Amino acid sequence: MKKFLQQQFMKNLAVWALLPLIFLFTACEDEVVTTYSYKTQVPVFLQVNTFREADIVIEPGKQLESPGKIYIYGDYLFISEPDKGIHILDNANPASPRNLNFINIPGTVDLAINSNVLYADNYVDLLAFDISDPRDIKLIKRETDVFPNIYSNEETGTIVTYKDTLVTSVDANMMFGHWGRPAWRTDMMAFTTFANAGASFSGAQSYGQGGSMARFTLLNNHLYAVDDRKLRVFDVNTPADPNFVTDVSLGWGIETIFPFDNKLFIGSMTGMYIYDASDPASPTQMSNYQHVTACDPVVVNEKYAFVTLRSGVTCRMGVDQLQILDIQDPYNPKLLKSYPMENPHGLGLSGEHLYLAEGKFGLKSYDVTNVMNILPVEHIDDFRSVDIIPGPKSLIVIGPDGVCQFNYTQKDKLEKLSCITVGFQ
Amino acid sequence: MKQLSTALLLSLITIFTSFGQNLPYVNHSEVGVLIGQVEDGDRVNFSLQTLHGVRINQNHDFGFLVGFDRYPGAKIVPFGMGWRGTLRPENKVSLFAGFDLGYGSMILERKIISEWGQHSWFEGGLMVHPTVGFQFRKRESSTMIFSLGYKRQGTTYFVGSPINDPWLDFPSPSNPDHWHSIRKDEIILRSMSVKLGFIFH
Repeated sequence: MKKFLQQQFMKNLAVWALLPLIFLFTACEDEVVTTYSYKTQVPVFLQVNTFREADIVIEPGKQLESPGKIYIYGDYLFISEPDKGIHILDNANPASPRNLNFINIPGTVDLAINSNVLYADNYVDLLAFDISDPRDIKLIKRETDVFPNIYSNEETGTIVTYKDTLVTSVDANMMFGHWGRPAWRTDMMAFTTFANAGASFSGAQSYGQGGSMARFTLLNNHLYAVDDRKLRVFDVNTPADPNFVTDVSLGWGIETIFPFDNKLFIGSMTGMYIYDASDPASPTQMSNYQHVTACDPVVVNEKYAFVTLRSGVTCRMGVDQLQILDIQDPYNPKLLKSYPMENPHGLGLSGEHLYLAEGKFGLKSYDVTNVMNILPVEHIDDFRSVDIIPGPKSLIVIGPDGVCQFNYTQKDKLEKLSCITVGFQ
Repeated sequence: MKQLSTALLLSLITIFTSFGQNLPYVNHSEVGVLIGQVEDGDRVNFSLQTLHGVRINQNHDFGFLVGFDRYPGAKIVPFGMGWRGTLRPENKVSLFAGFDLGYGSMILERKIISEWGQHSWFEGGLMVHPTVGFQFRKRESSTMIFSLGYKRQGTTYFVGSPINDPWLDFPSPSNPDHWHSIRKDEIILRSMSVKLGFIFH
């Protein structure tokens, strides 16, 4: 009986299995559904009036999303959020910085501070804020049309910016290259925002202090701003009244600017320029040290320039090196020695100690007393770092995960004080 | 995905070796072709499969299977579970049916990164394979089988350029933020299978 039932079951099963197969044999064509997804930058046209007439709003402290440049000024940290604004943190105690305010500035990239006046770009304009009381910040001046490179039509007052947009489609016409332009966000664009100015004091004016990947910098009562081609000079003798003076063409691929001893050291993708800024209103080129195409922040002391060359996407042919140049004759800088590195980014120099951000390979410190034989001191490999500022109270290290501060009084051992992590909102 | 495939395979082996303790071992090994249509014509692809399992009773075998299918452009290793049934096992010729369900793994396909940094790779997918046919008993311990079936094999092909993010070690295909552009081909390979094989027990 059992056997009979089994046979019946098999018979039925065979019949039922055959039926769909007959249908399916007729439909043995492969099916392909293609989905194209890509990032593109959609142009966004803006009338200058729209942002000029809008109020610059000071908001309560916000979480960091994508920290850019950091500036130390007194007990305060100013951290730019590229394209969005500037965070202000009370850093009186580096072990527990407090988030104070957020200045909402659309289209901003950089900042610099001079005698209680904060300068920041706002698309084509330069803004000046009175920050004498960081809890009560006021906009005091708007210098218009000083960064005209993003104008699409200056007469009608139209600027163009590009917005990252994700496009997904199953339409074959939407294949890459058919429509829009692919996003081309270089790591130069991503990291020049991790910028800063060097420590410098001039006359009665007190300048803030930053790392080596700066685009705005202050020297001798002048504000210098570099974009990828030009150096723009502003007179800030009256801090509250910045005035555009002139611009100097620099070539291409300009990345960082570092002021030292009446000179401007400008890092570009092809080399390092030294400009004499003893006449601050009209800097003149002293020399141009050429190297292979690479991304290269610069820091200097009286005798030497420390330049990192790193391979990257925009610097495809680059190498990963720390180069030390003799700059005692600024008209004729000489390469003394190159040290191989992993993926060096920003640098910070404190006395005889050089701190070097090695990207995802961490943070390194070297004793550079003898530049011909620099000695590794410490390597913290679990902290991804991009730029370093040796501040008066702490060593500030910036990375994609946030901003950390270290006690660096003991040169051979960094001690972590605090970290402001990037928040996801 | 590879880890998942390995884990699944290992668990299947464990399951069958444990509950197969008291049942007789059986092996179905088949070789044949997969016939299908692509956009510009027909394709005929080599296919090999072996099923290791137990004879539940005279009519039913059940086990885990692993195979090798050579499709145009990709070599797939399907594995999974399979059932085989025979209508009249005592007869010299009997109607025969089977059903395989599993995953077509891409362990033989490497991820390719081009000189320009473009990544391309396959991911496996669901495999379903019902068959019908005849079996010809030759000796006590070996039986020949001939079967026709329909094999449905899913797979996905990706071509993409990851973003220039020095912090990103492993771009994920499911995260659009990791890519400048990515093309995803969801492919269903539909074939008629024609196979010849042996049952050993």
